[in-house]
Amino acid sequence: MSIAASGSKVVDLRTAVDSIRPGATLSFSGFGHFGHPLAFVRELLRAGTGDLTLHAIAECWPAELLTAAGRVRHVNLSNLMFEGLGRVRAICRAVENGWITTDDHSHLGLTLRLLAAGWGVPFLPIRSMAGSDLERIQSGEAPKFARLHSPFGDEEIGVVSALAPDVAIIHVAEADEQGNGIITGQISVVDAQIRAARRVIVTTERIVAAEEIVERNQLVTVPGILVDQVVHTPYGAYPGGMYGLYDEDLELMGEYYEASRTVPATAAYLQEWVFDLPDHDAYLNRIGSRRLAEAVVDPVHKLARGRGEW
Amino acid sequence: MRFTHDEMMTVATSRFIRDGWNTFIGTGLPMVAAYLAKATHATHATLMFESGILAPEPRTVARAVGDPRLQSTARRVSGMLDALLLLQGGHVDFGVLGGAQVDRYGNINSTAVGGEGYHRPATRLGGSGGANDIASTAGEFLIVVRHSRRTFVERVDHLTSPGFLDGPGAREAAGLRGRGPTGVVTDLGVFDFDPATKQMGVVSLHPGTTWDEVAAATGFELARPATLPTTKEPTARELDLLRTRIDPDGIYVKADRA
Repeated sequence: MSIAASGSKVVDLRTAVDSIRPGATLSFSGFGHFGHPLAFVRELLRAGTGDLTLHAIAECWPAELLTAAGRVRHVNLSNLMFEGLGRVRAICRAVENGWITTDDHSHLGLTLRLLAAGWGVPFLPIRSMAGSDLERIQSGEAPKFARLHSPFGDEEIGVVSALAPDVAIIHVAEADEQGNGIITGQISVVDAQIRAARRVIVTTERIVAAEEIVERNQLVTVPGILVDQVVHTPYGAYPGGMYGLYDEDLELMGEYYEASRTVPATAAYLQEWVFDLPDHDAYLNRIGSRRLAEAVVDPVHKLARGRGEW
Repeated sequence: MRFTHDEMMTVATSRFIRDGWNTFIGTGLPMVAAYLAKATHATHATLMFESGILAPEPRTVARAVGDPRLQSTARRVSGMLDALLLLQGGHVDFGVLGGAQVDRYGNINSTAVGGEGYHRPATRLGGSGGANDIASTAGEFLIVVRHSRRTFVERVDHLTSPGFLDGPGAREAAGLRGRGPTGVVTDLGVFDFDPATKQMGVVSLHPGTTWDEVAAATGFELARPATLPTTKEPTARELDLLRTRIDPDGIYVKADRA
């Protein structure tokens, strides 16, 4: 931890992005169309940081956008697709053309690899992946799966090796200045990612007083002791959603999905929605406060009125 | 009453879900089938999603396994580790899986098709996600796919999720705890796996489907049984539930015959 435990870890988005070195291994929060740190991803795209390796379990949007811009070299993955839309075309195209390499896992397999790193053990036992091509084809930097004879009984058990990203980038609903973070809704694999990563960057919808965290301390998924930097990014998951706060913007996500059919259209989308906008503020201005307000969800149904329909 | 291929598939799928079963499921037609089961013969079945959503009672059909419609009505919301370790721990009775390719042993490919194989496929797909975990460790699972020679292949290009691997004894040798696939539902019929050979066989053909259609749409040798039972038609109540309550907009289950 580079900052005293009592001090604020709050930095601006560019500072956090500049701490990512070319060639880094990254893992992002997010599941489906929710909880991805997309303000961070757009700033990372503007910074030009490349040669990245991703440990991607459910962060389809960060993985797709970074790959679409040619910033990714290798992906250790368990599943990448756009729920309700279809394939992550830039990633698929990159694999089909041999532009990036991959190593496939089951969801549990990749999650347990991160957890092993987070728990400080070299491997963890697992009952899936055995007998499949997820066991047979091992194309990561290090072997992912092996079988051991149990030291405690007469059986063979599969194990997956520890895998630690250099940096985990996690988007939360609320965090205090030390990075104690609350996620509303399902947490995907954040619990494993933050324990595994050598550094953790938290981007947050709101920075709240420590007292507000203490009041709801049982809801803290991200312990501040694991966090290195905290960045205030309102609507930081947009055009994706944040459960309980705002819905995904299906029109804007659909615009990317259509553009992703061809390389030139994908590049044009990135130019328009990332590179032509200097920063996250400019992005939100481009979306407009009316559209952002329309995305805010009903407190009971957790859906925006008139939104959320495919 | 007239009904569509989608409706027949959905109803046939729902009949595999038994009352009281903890059922691991994704979105799409299988989710509609699970809602239908809960509204008919399996009121005490519990739905579980890999996103960590447990026992939701959504008012409208969900678009994604992390959908707010599921989260805001669930009894518990956690994360992927919790959900998948409930699965590995033996607490899930049943799962439903789709895929791009299925072979005679019920092995499924949802990763890569054609080309030079895994590293340079003609078509890269989403990958396992929780499918391999379900196929490996759920009590049993059902395969739900549309029937074509592209899907029913002699050998899957990538074995993402294990069925009976290469035959009798293979799951046990690999240390897989789940019983494996117990059925296949397609738009043409219902299929199962022979207890001795572990190879796919015919249970019934959907109303209006002929043996020749099935054989022509299957890329491996399928034994023709002496008798060919017809799948029990959807009941008026099942169709009414699908059309008016569960998927009235036809998001996943088309009500008009194409």
